[in-house]
Amino acid sequence: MSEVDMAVIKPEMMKSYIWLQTADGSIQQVEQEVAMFCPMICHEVIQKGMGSSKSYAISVPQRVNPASLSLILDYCRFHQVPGRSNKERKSFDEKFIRMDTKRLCELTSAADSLQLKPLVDLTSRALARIIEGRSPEEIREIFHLPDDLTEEEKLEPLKNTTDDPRIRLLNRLYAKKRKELKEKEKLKIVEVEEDRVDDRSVDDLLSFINGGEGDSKGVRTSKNKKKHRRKKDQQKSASANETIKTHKQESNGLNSLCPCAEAGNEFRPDQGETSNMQDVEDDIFARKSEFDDGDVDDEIDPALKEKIDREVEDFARRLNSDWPERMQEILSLGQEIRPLHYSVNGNGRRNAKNQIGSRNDITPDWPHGWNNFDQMLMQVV
Amino acid sequence: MNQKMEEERAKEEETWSRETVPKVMRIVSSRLPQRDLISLLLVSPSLHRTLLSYSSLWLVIDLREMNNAGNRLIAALSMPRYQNVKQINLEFAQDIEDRHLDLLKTKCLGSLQNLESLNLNGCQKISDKGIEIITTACPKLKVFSIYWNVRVTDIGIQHLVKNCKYIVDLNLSGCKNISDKSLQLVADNYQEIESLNLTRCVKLTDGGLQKILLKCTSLKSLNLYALSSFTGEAYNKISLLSHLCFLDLCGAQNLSDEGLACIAKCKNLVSLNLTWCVRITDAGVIVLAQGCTSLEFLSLFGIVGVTDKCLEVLSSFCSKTLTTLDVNGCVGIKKRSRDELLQLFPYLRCFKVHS
Repeated sequence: MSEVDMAVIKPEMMKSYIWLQTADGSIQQVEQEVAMFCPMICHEVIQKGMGSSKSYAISVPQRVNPASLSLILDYCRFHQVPGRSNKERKSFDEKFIRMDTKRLCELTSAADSLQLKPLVDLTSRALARIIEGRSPEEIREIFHLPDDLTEEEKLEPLKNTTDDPRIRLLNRLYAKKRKELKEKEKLKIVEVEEDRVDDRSVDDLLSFINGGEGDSKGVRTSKNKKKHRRKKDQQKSASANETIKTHKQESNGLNSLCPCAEAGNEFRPDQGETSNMQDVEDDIFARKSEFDDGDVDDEIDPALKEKIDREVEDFARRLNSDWPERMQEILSLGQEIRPLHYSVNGNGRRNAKNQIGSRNDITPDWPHGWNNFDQMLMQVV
Repeated sequence: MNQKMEEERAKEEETWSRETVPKVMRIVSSRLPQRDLISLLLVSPSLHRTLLSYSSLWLVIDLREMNNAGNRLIAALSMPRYQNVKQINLEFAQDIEDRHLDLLKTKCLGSLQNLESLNLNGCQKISDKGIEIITTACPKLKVFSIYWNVRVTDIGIQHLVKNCKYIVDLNLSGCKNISDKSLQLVADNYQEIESLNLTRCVKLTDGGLQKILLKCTSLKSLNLYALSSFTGEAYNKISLLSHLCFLDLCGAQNLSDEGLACIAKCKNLVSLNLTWCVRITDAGVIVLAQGCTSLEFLSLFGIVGVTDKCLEVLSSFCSKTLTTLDVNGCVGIKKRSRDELLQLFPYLRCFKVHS
């Protein structure tokens, strides 16, 4: 039946329609009062005279997919009726926004494109409630976002506004690692197993710090590997010292230093031990140039060396752990470290909660050096 | 076929994370408290970059109740995204001292230039010296709040008036060592001031208050809570504040009906606290009702000299606007059950102010 026929048979059905075209090419007609509820469509009709027929259909903005448009029109259809009470409208809204997060986001985006502010407010409020109190990792999951850091970005130097020596150390290690990565690319070396890289770097680090002991080639024996794996297992216990001591006997060159950042997501709820790293690290860095030459022993007084050894074991163990834990520990080391201590908020209840590993746990995944202040802020939550 | 589907899916994912999510996050993030905003920053580098590009999100640094606040503040202000910060809130933050403010001034002077609002409520380690430092760094300060700090003296206020010419809101509640001298300084320098809180500044006398009342005629809000040494000498001059909307005189034991009659001349009064103003009687409240017909909030807590009569008059003038009325302890009023009060004042929602 043609439209004219329909009009004759059912005059009461003859009402005005607006023609809309979505990005996929499909065209539909919508009751005028419903469509005009959207400011953007209203504008097109009034200012540009569009939408009165199929050939002059209003092109709905590209990001408004048909599903979102349909939802928006439902919303408009309900709310444009003048007689409704506030209670009715509120009730409708509450039911309306019950949908999965992805659709809610698409709806927000679409409503924004169509300039339908009340709907934007409604959906964004709902999304804000979803986001509230969640950790970055949870948010990533909920919104299906990839954690898109490149290798290089993970190794970006941390800002060190208070000249924290630990951060200085980390930045140097990063620099070394970045250099290594570049060299790797040049030579097109096949990617080394993660395990191996980690192993080597611990050894390297220790020998770098101790300098010049044993042979200077980057020899990795299976003996080392085994010990290192054992060390990894013992990580959670305090007795890492033994195994690391044996590592100290070997030494290699000064190749890679920085343990690979990518790793699993083990969470370590404990805060890490406090230790006064400053003196040690100052010593370490003061001797860096000598280490490069590979001849250090004369410079270090034995008593100090002992002290350094002990502190370094501890430090190396921590460096070798997964990046998130490492970052967390370094930044949250205890009160006596002067520059920055980011211990959890003094609220006792929150403290306990964090240690058990609640939703607001400070140990969620922050692998990245580019936001140490933000990590610091996160700690309080 | 499979490959095409995969391509399409990849494209969808791309659109999702590169277009939809940033757009939506921009819309949503303006509703989020700081903590969640920071969580968003940590989600991914691309989101990080996106959010940083919206400068309106980064105008406030909220470190309320945080420990190690001094260092956190320095770290925050060193970040480019906070270089236009307008508001810093350190209410009840711990570990913030004069030396942090000094460090701030040395390292982050640029970021402080546009600061308009600074809340140091409860930061009890800050002294006059700290005030000197921070006020020299923030010339555009409009709102300054430093309640419950007994180290602040007239000297600190001297620095404030010297360095910050645009103060419109000043909160010195609980700064017990402020004297009339400070009021003189405020009166001489801040004739445009709109809000002044002098709660519990017990050293103040009529002399100081008079200076304020004479010169700070733009005042909309004046808080004199728990200041019992003022007398009619000063109270009578409150009538000069023609823009006054909010007045707290809790504990003004010397306030007489005469004083209240002067207050009644402030036609725009919306909120008046007369808790424990024990000398007030029906006469005063009647004049008040006739003068302040827009009254929404009134407390007569503890006033035994008022009777049902004043409530009737109050009802005839203010029944349409009054939403809060506290007549607890007003033993002279016989009909003061909730229902009886609602009869007189149908829009009442709150029946208790003072605890």
